[in-house]
Amino acid sequence: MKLSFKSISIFLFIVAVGGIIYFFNLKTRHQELIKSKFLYGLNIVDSEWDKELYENKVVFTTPTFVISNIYESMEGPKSDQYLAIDNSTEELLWLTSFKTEAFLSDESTRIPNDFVCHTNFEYRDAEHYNRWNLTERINKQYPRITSISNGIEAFELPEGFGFPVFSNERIFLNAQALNHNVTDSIFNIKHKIEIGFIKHGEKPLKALQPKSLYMILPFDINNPFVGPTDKLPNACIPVETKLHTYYDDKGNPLSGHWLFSPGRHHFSFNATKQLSIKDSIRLHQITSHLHPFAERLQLVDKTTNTVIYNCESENFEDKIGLKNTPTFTSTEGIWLYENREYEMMLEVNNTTNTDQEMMASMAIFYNDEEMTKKTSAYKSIEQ
Amino acid sequence: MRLRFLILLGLVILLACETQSKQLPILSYTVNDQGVKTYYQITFSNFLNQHNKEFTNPKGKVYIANFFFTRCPSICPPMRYQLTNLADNFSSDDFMIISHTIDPNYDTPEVLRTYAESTGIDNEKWQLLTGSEENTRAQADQFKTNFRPNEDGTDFYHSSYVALVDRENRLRGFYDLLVPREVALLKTDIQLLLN
Repeated sequence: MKLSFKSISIFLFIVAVGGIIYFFNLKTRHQELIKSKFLYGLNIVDSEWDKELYENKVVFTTPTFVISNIYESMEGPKSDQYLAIDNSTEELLWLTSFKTEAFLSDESTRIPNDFVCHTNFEYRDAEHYNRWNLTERINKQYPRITSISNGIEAFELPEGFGFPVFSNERIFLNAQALNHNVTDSIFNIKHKIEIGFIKHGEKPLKALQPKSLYMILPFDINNPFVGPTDKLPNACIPVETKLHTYYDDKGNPLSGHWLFSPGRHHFSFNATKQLSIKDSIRLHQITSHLHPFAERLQLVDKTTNTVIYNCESENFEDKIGLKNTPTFTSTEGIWLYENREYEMMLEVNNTTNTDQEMMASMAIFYNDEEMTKKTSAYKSIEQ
Repeated sequence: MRLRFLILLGLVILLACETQSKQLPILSYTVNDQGVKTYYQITFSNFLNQHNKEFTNPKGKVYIANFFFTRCPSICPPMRYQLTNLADNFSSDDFMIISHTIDPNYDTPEVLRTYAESTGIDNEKWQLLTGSEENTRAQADQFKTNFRPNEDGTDFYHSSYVALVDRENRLRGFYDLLVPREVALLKTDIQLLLN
């Protein structure tokens, strides 16, 4: 009996040691997934999303994120949820502003937004478009409303414009924590995500259509981590070959998340195909998603050699992080045309001694006349 | 006293169920050019199932519906895997799956029966329907989806979504079967309607 107990103890000890070794050999991102599952599953920290509804805004509070490590982009604790603004009614609302703030898990102590990696806001395209008999729009593009990230934690759409959703329409929120700097303590945080809206009954707005433009760079799938070669002079070194990998029409891999060495670098990407403009669009809003060490992101009309959006981001000097990433907002809008070429141009300056990670995307909003026509006619009466 | 208590308990349960199902919007409506909403209920007419029997409107059942064709080499196999999984998960007689073929010339009731048998799912739970192209298009309109032949004529485009329908034949949601988090949401919503 004693022998049996000893054997079991040794076996459990070996399993525990093996598990610990396995855990610490995982990438940070995977460690965090296991850690969160463990903490939420055992109810050690709050695992639920919360909602506070006000007259013209809704605030969603994330579950607790336990900060116990350095987290670069896409590595930190995260949570996602399908949420409706108000299930009890079916009222047409116009989303007009988006904000994320970091708090300690007491939900009242504000902390710097250094701990916000991103908040993604998505609509469910089948439900969203089927409510308006716009079935042909389903699956045409990724259904992201917008994204908020480190350096740009709040923005408003231009006056008189919004994105229409019904109060009982479920949207999808994805929030992830970031920590570039703090290594000497473990602490719990939450994100408060605020969406401002105007009720259609109070003031009908003009509809905007969201779209994401993201810089993607080629890499050699057979030898991905060697960087530019004679064969692929414009190649990047992907952070991972699975995550954020896309393929062009010829099956060549491209990465939207890459490593860059110390010093200054320039990257460019032809965004004409991603824009896929039919005739013309009028651009009203651009919000950039950049990583620390990015200095400038531009959207350029290559045909006329005109800079449409010049985003000069500001980095902190005493720590790693983006202090400010300016948005583009225009009530009048800027026209983009089908027969022109558009390019994203990125300048970065890695002031550290090690490789850093970069991505560059733009969440854009342009006029949606078809939707505006439908919402203008919309009455909440039924037959 | 006991009778009163039981009636009260019954009312509370009914109210709770109604409140839960209200969490899902009713999506079977159209909005005309004047912006007026008209609600409708899903109906079935002139469709044969895999037993070569006419399929009539489901009564009091929660169901999901999709469009497919048996020769589909692309999205149908992973969709079939998820549908089989859902049929296994919701064994209640109150839940069923309805799949419309968009290739009626090839997908006869006999072909559909062979396909149904390969799923290993009870034939009554999973109804595979064939009808004229005109009827199938009208049905797709009711379910707010569409399909079309590919440009090279070799295959069809169709959606990877399923529609969720409640016991009153009203649309309550659309879910992409190729996205795991959407499948998880669908399972939650089916349970909500079954409760």
